[in-house]
Amino acid sequence: MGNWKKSTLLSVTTAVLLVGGTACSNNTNDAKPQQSASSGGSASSSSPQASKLKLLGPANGNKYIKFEERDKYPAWKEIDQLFTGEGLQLDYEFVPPEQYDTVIKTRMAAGSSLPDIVNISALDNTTVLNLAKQGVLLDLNPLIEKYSNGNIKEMYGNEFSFAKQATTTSDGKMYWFSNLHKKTYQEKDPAPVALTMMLRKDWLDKLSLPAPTTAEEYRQTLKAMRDSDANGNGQQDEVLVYNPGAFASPIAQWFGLGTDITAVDVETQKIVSPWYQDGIKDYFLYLQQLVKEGVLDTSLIAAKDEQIQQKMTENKVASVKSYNMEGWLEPTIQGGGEFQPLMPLKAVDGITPAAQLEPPFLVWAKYAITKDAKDVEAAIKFFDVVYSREYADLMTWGIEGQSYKKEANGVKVGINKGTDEELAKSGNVAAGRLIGDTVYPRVQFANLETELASAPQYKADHELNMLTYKPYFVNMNEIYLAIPDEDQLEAKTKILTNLNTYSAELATKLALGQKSLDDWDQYLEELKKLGLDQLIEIDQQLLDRYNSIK
Amino acid sequence: MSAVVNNRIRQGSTAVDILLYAIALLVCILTLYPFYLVIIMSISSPMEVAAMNVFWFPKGFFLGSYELIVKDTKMWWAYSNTIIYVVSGMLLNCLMSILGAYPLTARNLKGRKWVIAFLLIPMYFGGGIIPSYLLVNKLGLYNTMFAVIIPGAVSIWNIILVRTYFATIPEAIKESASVDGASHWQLLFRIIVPVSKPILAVIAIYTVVGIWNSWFDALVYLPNERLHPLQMYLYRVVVQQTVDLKMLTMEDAARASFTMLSNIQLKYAIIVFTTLPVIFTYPFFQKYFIKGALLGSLKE
Repeated sequence: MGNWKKSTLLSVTTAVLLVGGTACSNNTNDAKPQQSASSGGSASSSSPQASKLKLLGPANGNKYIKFEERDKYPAWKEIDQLFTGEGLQLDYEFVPPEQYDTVIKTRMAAGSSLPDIVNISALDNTTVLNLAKQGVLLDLNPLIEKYSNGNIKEMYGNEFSFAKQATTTSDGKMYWFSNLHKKTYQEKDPAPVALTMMLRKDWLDKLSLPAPTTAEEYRQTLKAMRDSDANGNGQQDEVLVYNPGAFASPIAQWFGLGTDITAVDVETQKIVSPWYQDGIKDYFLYLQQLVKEGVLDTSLIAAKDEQIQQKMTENKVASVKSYNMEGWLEPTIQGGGEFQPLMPLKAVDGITPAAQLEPPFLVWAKYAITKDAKDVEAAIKFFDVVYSREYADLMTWGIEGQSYKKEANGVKVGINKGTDEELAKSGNVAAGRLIGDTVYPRVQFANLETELASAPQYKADHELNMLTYKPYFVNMNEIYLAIPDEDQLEAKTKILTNLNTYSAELATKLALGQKSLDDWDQYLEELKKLGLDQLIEIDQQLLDRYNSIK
Repeated sequence: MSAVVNNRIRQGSTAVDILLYAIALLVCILTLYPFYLVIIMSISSPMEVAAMNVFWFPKGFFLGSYELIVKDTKMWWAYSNTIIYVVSGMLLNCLMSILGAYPLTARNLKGRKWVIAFLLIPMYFGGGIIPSYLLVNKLGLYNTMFAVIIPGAVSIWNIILVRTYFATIPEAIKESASVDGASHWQLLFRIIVPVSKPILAVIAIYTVVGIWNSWFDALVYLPNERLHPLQMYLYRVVVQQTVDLKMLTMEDAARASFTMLSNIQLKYAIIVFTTLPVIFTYPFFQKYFIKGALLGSLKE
């Protein structure tokens, strides 16, 4: 009995001590210093007039280049000075990136104890507009008018005018700032990057095959690679990795098709749907041939990246979609290999093959000021620094001589292309690598020259050929569409839920030959019933409004 | 006579024995192989693992992932946090279950049935994530270790289990203790708790295993990485590895691609590292698990 009394008392005491101890240690030592870190030296000891701002965003998640070690990065010190120079004292709350979605959704939905500035990129437009309606997020336009020193207007009005178009709501309000990206070549020409079909260059050389110039030759080449056992493992297992369920696949563009159920034709400023375009039936006939000949690996349709990576590592992928200047696939192939980007290949008479491009101007991510912001003037000051040229240079390029150099013609070219571990040791990285996409928006004046310098000649040549290639579709159609109003958003959400599923299923079944092209009218009828025409109409309205915003 | 002989042959058939042993062996292999596969993947070359070439034996012996994990201070933080959560959670759960169950065994407690009904409601209906977050936040627990420990301190299921066990203790023992002048506290901690060791062991194990494997509360309530339990560390690696490359710009796709490849093998090492302690404790507590399962079937 006595022993039990003692052990019970001991257990209770231990529990109380443990819980108390852990809680105390959390409050005093662990949580706060880790959780929220004030901005560097000078800010902490700033003048009494320093304006405090609480910022919430995802941590950068890099294993080596860590925000906690920011003081060793020269680019960060410069950035820090920009903020402290404006009298801003920043208090960060960083959440691990894989946890951020859950945390921000919960906290914004609860709507209490919000920071001054918050990264809400994880929230979709419907949620953000609802929050704005509830007054949780502030309209930025009047604040910019009242408090900005002009930097924000300069960036949004002149340098990145498309940003205003993409972030203005139907009632003329603006609830978030964004990451802004502009890529140019020779400091003036817009430089889109192409997404193409990549074909094994080393296998072409090994089998003495020329690079295909038409879709038919491409098919023959893939077949030859398979029949000749290009990887030399004794099996005919060289495959094309391709998802016919999504139109954002370069082969679809060879047939002149858009990149999504609805796509923006940038040249004509019209919304098109591949289901109504001329090459659609020929496209599925072509895919059926690839499937029939066993070239297209049907087991990898809609596969996860990990499964595709497995096939890549096994040295079985003959062709796959990727960025034309990628350099990350080759090192993962067991035994090595090279991928060559293909130009858009002619597939059907009367249809000029289109390219798929990543636009040279990008606007993405959302950074908002919340209703709990105590000093909105300071919050606008924060964004005035963010949208300054100095900040953009430090984010994109870092420090001259350390993370970039200037060529004789004045063009900046990035240097120190080591691994993250090496870069973390040297500290010579652009600030974007350290703080981009956290609570700090990325503002980037990038150039193509840096990418060309590190790409093999044949990839660089391909990119230069693609710079002015027409016709083309973009891989991110939504960046050309204005934010829908409440009714449009509701209608789009309702339509897309079923339409996306039906479209993907139909396209996959047609490619696999499980559905007959003879019943085409019936499929179109069903697509219309699910709202395809209405979706095109709404997107056209959004595109028109996007173009009308000045 | 011949019928008896036939019967003996049927009961003691070597062929049937062999068949049964073979089936049992097959089931064992099917059960153990996934564990074995994870272990050999964790010590094989990352390239071989990415190519899925590892089936029976490790290929390209490689301990780099373990080195990376062992050197990672975040992992040790997570490990120590989990131990704190497990120990404090287990002790609190046992204590709360005892204190919650005892009054419910008192036959003369007024409104006992109402109290039990009241306890049963939250077993079936939860408040939802936002109200729970608001509560935790208003109580000042958000982003502290309490946010994980306190809400899990009371388990209605455990209270019912303990109550069921307490109810099996003969009333005569309690009455005789009362006659000898024992107070309720003395009766509970000197008489009832000592004879209830089996059920306390069962809920202790349930709690330990539950807390060891839990990560969702930490995901919602602990944005501070330094407070994360081990399972969040595992979650981080698995989620990072399944990044959607299609949604990224060219620069981001390149970085994410390298991370994905290196994490494919790393995750197996982390699974081994995070699971082994619990696996090793299982055999020692197996008998209590069986007991727990039986008790769970006896609800009044």
